[in-house]
Amino acid sequence: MSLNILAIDDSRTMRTMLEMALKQSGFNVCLAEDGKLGLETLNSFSPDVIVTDLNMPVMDGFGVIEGVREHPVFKTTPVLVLTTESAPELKQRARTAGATGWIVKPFDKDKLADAIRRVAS
Amino acid sequence: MDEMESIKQTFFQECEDLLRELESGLILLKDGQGDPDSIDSVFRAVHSIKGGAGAFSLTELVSFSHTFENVLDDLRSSKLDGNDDIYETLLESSDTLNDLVAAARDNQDWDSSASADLLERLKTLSSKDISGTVNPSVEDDNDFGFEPVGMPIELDFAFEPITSPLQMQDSTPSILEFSISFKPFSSMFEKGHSVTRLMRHLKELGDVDIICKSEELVGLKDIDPGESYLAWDITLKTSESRASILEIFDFVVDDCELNITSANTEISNAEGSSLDHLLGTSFALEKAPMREETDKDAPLSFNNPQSAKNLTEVNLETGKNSDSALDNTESSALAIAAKPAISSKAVDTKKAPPATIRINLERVDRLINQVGELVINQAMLSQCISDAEMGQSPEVVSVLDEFKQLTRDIQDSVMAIRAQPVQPLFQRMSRIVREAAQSTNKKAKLVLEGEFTEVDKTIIEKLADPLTHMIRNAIDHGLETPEKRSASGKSPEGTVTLSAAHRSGKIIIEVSDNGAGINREKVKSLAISKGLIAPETILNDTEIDNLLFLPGFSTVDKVSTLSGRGVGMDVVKRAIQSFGGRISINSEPGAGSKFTISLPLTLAVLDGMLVEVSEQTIVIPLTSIIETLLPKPSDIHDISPSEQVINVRGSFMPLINLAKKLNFENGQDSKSNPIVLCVETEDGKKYALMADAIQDQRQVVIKSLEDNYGQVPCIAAATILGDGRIALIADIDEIVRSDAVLLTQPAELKTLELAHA
Repeated sequence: MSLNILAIDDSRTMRTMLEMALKQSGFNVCLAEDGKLGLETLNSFSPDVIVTDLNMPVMDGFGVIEGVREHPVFKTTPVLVLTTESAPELKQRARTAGATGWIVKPFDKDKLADAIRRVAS
Repeated sequence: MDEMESIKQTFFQECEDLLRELESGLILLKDGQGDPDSIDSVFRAVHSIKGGAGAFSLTELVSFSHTFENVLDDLRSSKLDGNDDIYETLLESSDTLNDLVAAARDNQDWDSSASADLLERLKTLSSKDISGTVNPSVEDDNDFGFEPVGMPIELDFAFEPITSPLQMQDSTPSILEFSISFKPFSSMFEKGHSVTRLMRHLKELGDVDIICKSEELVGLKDIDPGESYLAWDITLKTSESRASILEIFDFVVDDCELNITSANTEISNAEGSSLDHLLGTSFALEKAPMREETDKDAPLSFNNPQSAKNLTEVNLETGKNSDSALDNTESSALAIAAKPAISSKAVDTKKAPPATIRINLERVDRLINQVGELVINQAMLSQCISDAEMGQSPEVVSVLDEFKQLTRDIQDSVMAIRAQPVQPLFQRMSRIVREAAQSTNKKAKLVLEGEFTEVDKTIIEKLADPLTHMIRNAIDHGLETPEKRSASGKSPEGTVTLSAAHRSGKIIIEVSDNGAGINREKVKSLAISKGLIAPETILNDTEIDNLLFLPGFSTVDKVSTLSGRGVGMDVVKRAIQSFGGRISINSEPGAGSKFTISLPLTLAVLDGMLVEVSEQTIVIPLTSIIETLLPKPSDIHDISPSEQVINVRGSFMPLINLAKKLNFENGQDSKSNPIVLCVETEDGKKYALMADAIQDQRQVVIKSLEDNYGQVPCIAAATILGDGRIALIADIDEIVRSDAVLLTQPAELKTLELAHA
């Protein structure tokens, strides 16, 4: 059975790319354009892995990580941060909040899929 | 890679939106009307452009937006206080970013020297050391880094002096044996990590021997599924460095006990001193694992709360957190406390835009076309009903009326889909104002009014060029220099106002300036010197102002740094007329000039009068008709064998025989009782058109003749009538223009001949 991936990014371009990349890698994809909308889909979509951007309006990636970790059902779902950021303090913050991994944009389709499969096991 | 290409298109579309957001945000900030959200959205706009550009390897765009972003980040975090100069620079950067995006979209090479100076200025503003952070290599092999190899550029930069010995070690093929003891805390599982994955990863490094220690495992009835009971001892034989092992555990070190020992500690010792020395406090946190690694007495052990004497403060904090597995909430609380602004924003949804969907324009056009067919069909039905003599039945009449109303409503709704606010177009003009003011050394600000007025998208697109030109003209020719303005008691900064409004079924767009107004003496003498009018011509003010629209009035010897200059107002006028608009001018000496454009609401339907000409039906646009007459034969006078004038209440107008003009007949056998339509052209001149009879007045759906057949002189388009016949829509301006008959001064005759030569 293919994995359900929730991808959260405010950039339309990035969402389109993620959708294409993830679908080609055989995942089911659900897209959300900010953290709040992303968290709202948890119950209906039941993601196996969440891929989120950091810098977003309404609710940012840290909000997503925290929201997931506090969620009664999905608190153990792996959350991968996909961002152009690479500052150590941001990474530490993501780690403290409970991120499962950190991927720097631009991403490679196969490596992203690989990363998702690795954390989903 | 068609898919990538289409995503690229999406990217450029998104860029347009983002650039607009960027510019309007910057303008708000500059005017002191910005709030924290403005700077956030400005930052995100540049950030998103950078992100997308990276994905398409647009390196110029990436590096410029990166520098730009850094300055905005400083502004956002109040490391930098915005002032007018800074916002000017940022607005200029936004313009340059615009150009960079356009160059990337059009696959043009970017001359980086053009933006080098700006880039330098941005770098001076930014607090960050940019040279080390730009990441031009878009193909990063270590996208999925659990640290530290190939991860943040800042780190690579900071580590440069020591990575080489490390790499040297890496390249030696010697196999080392590591003993790893690993005990996860339950918090590790809560964060979505799995032991299986970690082990599988270790296996990729070399030969592993994994022993699971289950001493702490309790009986099944006592087991807590959320607790962690197992630990592992791993022996790894690998040629990889310790760093590679650490990389695997990077994201779990806070949530486990981890000890790594190896026989070889010599090299890491040597590194240790230089590493400790190199690590600034800001990197201490990130580097904690590496620092541990260099501790030669103890085997690697980090985040074990009991032995973490030398860990940094923050690490201790997280260590505590991972120690008490229940305290997941505490970490969240901590993180929230650290970023109150963001958390409070998460709750704030009032600024969420209304829900929208993006539709391919083709689909909208198809829908509009189909609704057009529906309108025609409805007209045909009405005709059939009246032909069948059912028009008397009150039920039929009322149902038919309802149907007509409904059809109109649908048509209006569909048109509304195409309608867009002129705001983005207007906003684009602020850049034109900045550039034009800069290159003419004038001070100017742009005031927008009615920017939410909605106009058909096609018209908006067509307005861009004429408006750009008019705005440039307003600054170049309309506004005075700051010195002159001060001398005449005006504020040194001139104002250009761009407004839009709906007025009696038309859209009125006005470009006005508070400059010196048109110098009519100068305009007239210029027109005489260029041979556009005869020296003895007597013209009133309006006529002089209208000379600006004559072809050849504006000359190319005025071309300056602004591209597109040297194109006259005649081009502007022609462009506006080409989509059914009109332009007029109004000027007051000393107070400024105002250009008024009036446009049809839509290009898809037209209110027209159906007239009969030589047994053909011709549609005359209602907007150009001022009155209809039934002339007495005595009102019509021949002034030459082929030219006639008509006397309308004492004033004479040139009379144009439509049938003759449109080549329907030889023009001699006019009907005995013709009708006359008085029409008015852009410049206020009145003409009379002669036709056989008026049939009806109704809304018609415009069908392009050019697309379906070809251009026909004097015909603007075609339409389909209720009975299915095709009728042609007359192009009044062209009919009048191509008619040389004029009952005016010879000089003006010359003018018109010139205009249409």
